[in-house]
This record gives sequence, structure tokens and C-alpha cells, in this order.
Amino acid sequence: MIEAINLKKYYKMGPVVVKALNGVNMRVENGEFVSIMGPSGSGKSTLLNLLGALDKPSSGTVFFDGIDLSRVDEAVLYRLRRKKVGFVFQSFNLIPTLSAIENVLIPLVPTGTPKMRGYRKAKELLETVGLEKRMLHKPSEMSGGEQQRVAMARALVNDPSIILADEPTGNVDSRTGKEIMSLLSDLNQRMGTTLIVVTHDPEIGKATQRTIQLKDGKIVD
Amino acid sequence: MLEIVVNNVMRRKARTILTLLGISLGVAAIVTLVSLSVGLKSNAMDIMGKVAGDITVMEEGQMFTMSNLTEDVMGQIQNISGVQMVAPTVMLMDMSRGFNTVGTDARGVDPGLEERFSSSSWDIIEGRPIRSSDSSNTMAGVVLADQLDLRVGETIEYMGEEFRVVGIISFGNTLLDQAYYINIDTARRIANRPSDYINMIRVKVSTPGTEEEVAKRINLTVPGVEARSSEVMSEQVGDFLDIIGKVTWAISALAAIVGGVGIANTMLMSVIERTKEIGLLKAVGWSNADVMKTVLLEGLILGFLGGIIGVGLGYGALVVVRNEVPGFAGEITVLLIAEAMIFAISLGVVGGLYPAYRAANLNPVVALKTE
Ligand SMILES: Nc1ncnc2c1ncn2[C@@H]1O[C@H](COP(=O)(O)OP(=O)(O)OP(=O)(O)O)[C@@H](O)[C@H]1O
Ligand SMILES: [Mg+2]
Repeated sequence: MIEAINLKKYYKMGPVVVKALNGVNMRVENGEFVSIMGPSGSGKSTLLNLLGALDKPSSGTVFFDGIDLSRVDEAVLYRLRRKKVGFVFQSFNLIPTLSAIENVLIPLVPTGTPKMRGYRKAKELLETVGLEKRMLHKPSEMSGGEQQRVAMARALVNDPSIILADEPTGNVDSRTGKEIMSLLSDLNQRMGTTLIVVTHDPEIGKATQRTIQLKDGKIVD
Repeated sequence: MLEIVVNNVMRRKARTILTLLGISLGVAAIVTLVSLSVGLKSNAMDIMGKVAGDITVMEEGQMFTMSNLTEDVMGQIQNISGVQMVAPTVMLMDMSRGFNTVGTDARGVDPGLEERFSSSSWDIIEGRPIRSSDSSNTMAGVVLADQLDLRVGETIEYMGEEFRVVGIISFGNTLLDQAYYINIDTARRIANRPSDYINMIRVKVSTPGTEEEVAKRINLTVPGVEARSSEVMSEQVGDFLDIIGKVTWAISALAAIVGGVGIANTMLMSVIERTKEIGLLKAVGWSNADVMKTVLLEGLILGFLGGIIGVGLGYGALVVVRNEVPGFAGEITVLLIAEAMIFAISLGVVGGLYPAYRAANLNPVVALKTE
């Protein structure tokens, strides 16, 4: 379960203070499939990063499975990301010089997972997302949709309890976008993985169980 | 982890190669210069030890061809207790051939005496030693013979005189093996000196270990001469060469440090280029230490490769020098290789410290936003 309590994130830009998040309260139960929508600049990415222990709030806090993230040090945050969180980004963020399977293995590198076990797991995941024929290809040799599916396999390789996806369909065409969304909802239904998806697409919003609307750093109903 | 690091190193091949060139030239400088100075030292020690037996006597305040002694002085020295044997030398230098080049030096020696004095320190490679009756015969040192392709029976020309080569000898010492050996009387005539003239008297002591003691006794009893035990001479020369050795290390270390700065620069660039990737690594759960490790490992690999290439280049340079300077004793020791490698690897790691620190402390959210 993830809960945000009076979450604020301010950026100081010289004399101006940008209130990216200005007092967000929300709660996502385990196994939920939630979308976050809102105009550009409303604070969606900022919120997602705070929920995923990637960033620190200016005030307020996030409870992640009962852990108060504002009260723990860096080491707890990266272990949480390592063990429980999977991120999917709009721009894929694959490492261009590594093959698909190597990219999927990246989160396991510092965990000391035995090579063969990691390899088998990565292979399985690439099969799940339909890329068994692309395992040794570099990102530059793959389409946007294929790259995003590699990124999804990467997000899953550590068996996360929650997946945070920031506009995962933003850089692919609408058909590929549908494929990606169906992979995600499949995951949610079969594995019970919690899903929070930031999106601009109302279709996708409708396909989720619940939509959180953000505007000017606040939740609106 | 290692695969990822190697992958990063190989990403910008041209830049990696240039960086490696920088550090390897520094390492090569260390390897070459240090081994040259070690070689110089061992050559010099060799010469000091063998140039003239246990003690060398010259005119007080004068050296080599400037020194002016007589048969009479040699007789006095022979009578000093603790002296086993003495031998005279008249040194000639044909300056028209240039300084310290092959064929410049000739030494006039007393053939009969010399055979007894030097028989334990020379090898006859070919032919025979010169005899008292040989006024225009010569023995050539083996380095000289090699360089000029001399054979026994050939005739050579030295300072306007012709000599027939009757023997080729080796002292196992470059300086001595670069000279002609002729009859001392002939040398005196060529040098326009009286018939009892001597440059340098070489002394063998009766009991090993008494060189210094006997040298002191000579200095006390014979006026106007300076006797030096080769041990003391070697020590002085050794001290001087030690200083040269240290300066050499310092200069070449400086060169290598420049290479290390190159590593730091390259890695800083590559870390900045990879900002977004580093953000991703942190997002998927890499700790600061994990990121730091990969960057430091990258520096280590660069240093290691630079070290290997540098040792190779240095070795090549040394081989060239050894071919050019016959008999040169410069040598690359395992210790020197180890020192150079450790130095290169440390430079790589130290060069990687700041880039690694920067990478490790990137804010992942900011890093992921960069393009
Ligand atoms: N590092 C930063 N420094 C300053 N301002 C920032 C920073 N990051 C975000 N902001 C500001 O915070 C606000 C919210 O940004 P955020 O990226 O969360 O918006 P978003 O809802 O994800 O927008 P989009 O739909 O365009 O991705 C914006 O006004 C943005 O300019
Ligand atoms: Mg955004």
C-alpha cells in the first residue's frame, strides 16, 4: 500500500518558487490499477517519482508498505527501489550499447543474483513481452514499441510489488500503445502487481480502475 | 558489472585510445628512463671496478690523459707493503674521431706486465695478446672489433700510424672493450712523451679487502699522486647515479601524471555523457556505491591497459637503445614493471575518483531529465 500525506514539492527558481506539488493526499491499495491524469506541468511526474522513492519531498511524506520515506536514509530508499519498485519511462531509457537482454539484467547487476538465474529470468520476461527474437538486438535496432517492451521487462526483472509508469505510451503509436497497456493490465490481473500509470490519453484513463486528476500540484475531483 | 564497465570503456574507441596513449607514454617514459639509468649505473660500476684493478693512481688533481707520472713513481708504489702488482697505462684519445665513439681510445700497456696483471680479467676471443716486441701490433676490444668488423690479421690506422690486429679481447666492460691496446712505448712515441711517461698506474693488492688501506698508504708515502680504491670511486659515482635515478623517476612520473589527468578528463566527459543512464541505474536500485564502483573500475581498466601498453613501448624503446649502444646494460626488471603497473593503475583509480564521486551523487530525477 502506498499513501501520500500532504505531499509538497517546491522548486526554487531564483526568486520564484514553483509549487510542483502542493499538498497531495492519496492512497493506492495493493493490486490496484490507477491512472494519474492532468495537464502538462500539473505535477504528475513529480508525484510518481516521490511515490517510487526516487525523489524527496519538500514536506509531507509517503508511506510505502508502512515505511515513512521521510524518516529513512538513502540506503533504505535504493533498496526499496531495488526490491519493490519497477519504473517505466516515456523515453524508455535503455542503454544504447547493451543488447535487449543485457538491458533487462541491469537492475540485477548489484544484487549478486547468480548469472544463470538472472539470464533465465530475463529471457522469460522477454518472451512474455513477445521479444524472444530480439534478445541480442541493440535498442537502435528496435522499434519504439519493442524498446518500450524491453523497458517493461526490465521493470519486472526484480519482481516488483508496484510498477510506476510515466506516460509509457507517449512515444509509440496508438496500436503499440494498446499492446503495452494490455500487457500492463494483464500483469495486474494475473500477478496482482500494483500499477500506477501517468497518461494524457483518456482512453487509457478509462481502462484503469480509478483515475486521479491533478491540477496545479493538487488533486481535483 | 565488469561487462558493463568494459562496454563503457569500449564505447568511444578513439577517445579511449587517445587516453591510453597519454598514460602509456608516461609509463613508457618511466620504464625506459629508469632502466636506462639503472643500466648507466651498472655500466659505470663495472667500469669503476675493472678499469684499473683494485686501486688507480693518477697525478694529484689530474685525470686520465692530463695525469703525468713516471716509471720511478711506479717503482715506489710497487715497494709499498700490501701491493702485489702494478701496471702502467698511457691513454691516447684520437679526438679527430669524436669523443667517446668507437675507435677513439687507445691504451698503451706494457705487454709482459699486462698479461700477468689482466689475465684473470680478460678473455682472448681471437688471436693472441701483444708482446714486448710488437711495436706496431694491437689488440682490439671486442666491442670495437664488432663495430668495425675487425678480424685478426687486418691492418688499422690510428693517429697516423698503421697497426696490425693480432688479437681480440674482451673485458666484459663496454669502455674497456671499445679501446685498442698497443705497446706502451709506441703510445709514448705517438703522444710525444719521454720513455718513462705514464698516465695511470693500476695497483693490485695482496689481500682482498685492504684496497682502501693500501690506497691511503700510497697517498701518504708517495708525494704528488692520488690513489683511489675502485670501491670508493664506485661509491661516489654510485651516489651520483642514484641522484640521476631519482630525478629520472620524478621526471617520468610527472609525464605519467599528465597521462593520469587525461584519464580524469576522459572519465569526467564520459560520466557527463552518461548522466541520463546513471540516473536510470539509480532509479532501478543501484546504490551510490554501485555507481561509484563501476566508474572506478573503468579508471582501473584504463590505467591497467595504459600500463601494459606503456611497458611494451618502454621495452621497445630500450631495445632500440641497446641496439644503438653496444654493450649497454640497461634492463627492464620485473620490479620495474610491477612498479610501473601499480603506478599506472593507481593513476587510473585516482583519476577516476572525482568523476566517480560526481556520478554517484547525481540526483536521479534530474539526471533522467537531461538529454
Ligand atoms: N527540477 C526542476 N526544477 C524546477 N522546476 C521543476 C523541476 N522539475 C519539475 N519542475 C516543475 O514542476 C512542475 C511539475 O512538473 P512535472 O514534471 O511533475 O509535470 P508533469 O505533470 O509531469 O508534466 P508533463 O505532462 O509535461 O510531463 C512543472 O511546472 C515543472 O516545470
Ligand atoms: Mg511528466
